[in-house]
Amino acid sequence: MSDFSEAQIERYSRHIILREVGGKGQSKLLDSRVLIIGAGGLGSPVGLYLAAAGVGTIGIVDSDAVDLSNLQRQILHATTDLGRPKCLSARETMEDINPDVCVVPHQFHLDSSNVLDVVADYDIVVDGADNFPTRYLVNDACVMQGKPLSHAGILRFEGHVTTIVPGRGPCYRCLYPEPPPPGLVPSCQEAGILGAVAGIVGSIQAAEVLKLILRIGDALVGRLLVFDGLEMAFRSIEIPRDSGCSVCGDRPTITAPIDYEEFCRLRGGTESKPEVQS
Amino acid sequence: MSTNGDLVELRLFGPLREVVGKKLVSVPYAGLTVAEALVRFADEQGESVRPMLFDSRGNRLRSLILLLNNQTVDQLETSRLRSGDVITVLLPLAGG
Ligand SMILES: [Zn+2]
Repeated sequence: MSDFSEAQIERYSRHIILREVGGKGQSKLLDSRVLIIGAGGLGSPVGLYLAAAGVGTIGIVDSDAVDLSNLQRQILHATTDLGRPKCLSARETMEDINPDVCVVPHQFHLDSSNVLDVVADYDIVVDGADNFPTRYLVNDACVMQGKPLSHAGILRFEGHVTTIVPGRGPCYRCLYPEPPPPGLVPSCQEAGILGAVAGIVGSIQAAEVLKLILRIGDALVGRLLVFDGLEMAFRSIEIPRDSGCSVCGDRPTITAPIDYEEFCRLRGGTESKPEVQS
Repeated sequence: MSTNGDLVELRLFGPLREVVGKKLVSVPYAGLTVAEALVRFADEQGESVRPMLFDSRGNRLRSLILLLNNQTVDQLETSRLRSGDVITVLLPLAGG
C-alpha cells in the first residue's frame, strides 16, 4: 500500500476496506489491462465502472462516431460529443473520472487481420459489440490466446451475459456453434433497447471483469445469465463445454481468426446459403 | 382442444417471443420428442416462426439453445415430453 498516494488511498478507500480487495487487490486493478470491444450501450457502463475502479489500462475498439440516437443509452458520450469518434469521447469521459487510468483508443474495424494483435496486448476482453461477425471473431481470438472474455448481448428488454475462460468452460461457439442466418435476429437499431437494460447488463460485465482481476468469487463460467427486464427476472442456465466445438473443442477446426463471410463459406456445399429475412 | 394432461410449455425469448407475441405458450405436445415438438410448433405457428427454428432445408438452426426444464438436452430426438415439462428456446442476441 506504500505505493499509493494520499489521493489514491482516499479515492479507492471503499475498495480497500473490502476484505476481498484490500490494497493488494487495488494494486492488481491498477496494474491490469482490459480491452472493451465497442463503446456503445454495453461498453459505456463497463468503461465507466472500470475507469472508476482504477483499472490501469483500458483499450477501446470502436470505429464509429457519436450519433444523437446513441445518447439514450451510451452514457460514455454527451450531447457535446455528437460527431466525434466514440473512442475519443470515451477516453475523455473515462480519464476525466479517473486520471489514474490510461485509455487506449483503437479506432478501426476489427477483422481477422488485426484481432490477434489487438487482443494480445490485454489481460481480459469485454465483448460489447453490436453484430455477430465481431462477436465470433472476438470469441475465437480470445480462445486462441487463452484470454478471459466477458460476453453479453442485449435487445429490447432482454440481456444475456456469460464469462468465457478458455480451458475452464464453454466458449461462445459452444453455446451457439453458428451465427443465426443474417437478418433473423434484429439489431437494437431495428428492434430497440431500453437504455437501462444496457446499463444493468453492462454493469454485470464490469463486475465480472473486476472479480476476474481480483480472483474472487465465482465467475459466470459455464453459466448463461438471461435477464428479462419486463418480468424483472434473472435465469441462470448451465451450459457445458462442447468437446466437439470448432474452436475450443478437443479437435478444433478453426485455428486462425476468420471473418464472418469466410465462416459462412466454410459451411458452403453441405448447407444452403443463409437467406436474408425481411 | 386437449386435456391438461397433454400440456407442455414453451418459454420463448428474444425475437421468437416478439413474433409469437407471448413469452409462455401451452401446447398439447406431451408424448412427442423435443425435436418433434419444435417441428409441430413451427407447423402450427406458420411461416413467421419457422425461420427462427429451421433453415430453408428443414434442419434445426445451430444457433439455438434448447432447454428441457432448464437443463440442456442431449437427446433431442429421443427425450419424450411429459405433462408439465417446459422447453426453453433461446436465440443469441447481437445488440450491444
Ligand atoms: Zn467452444
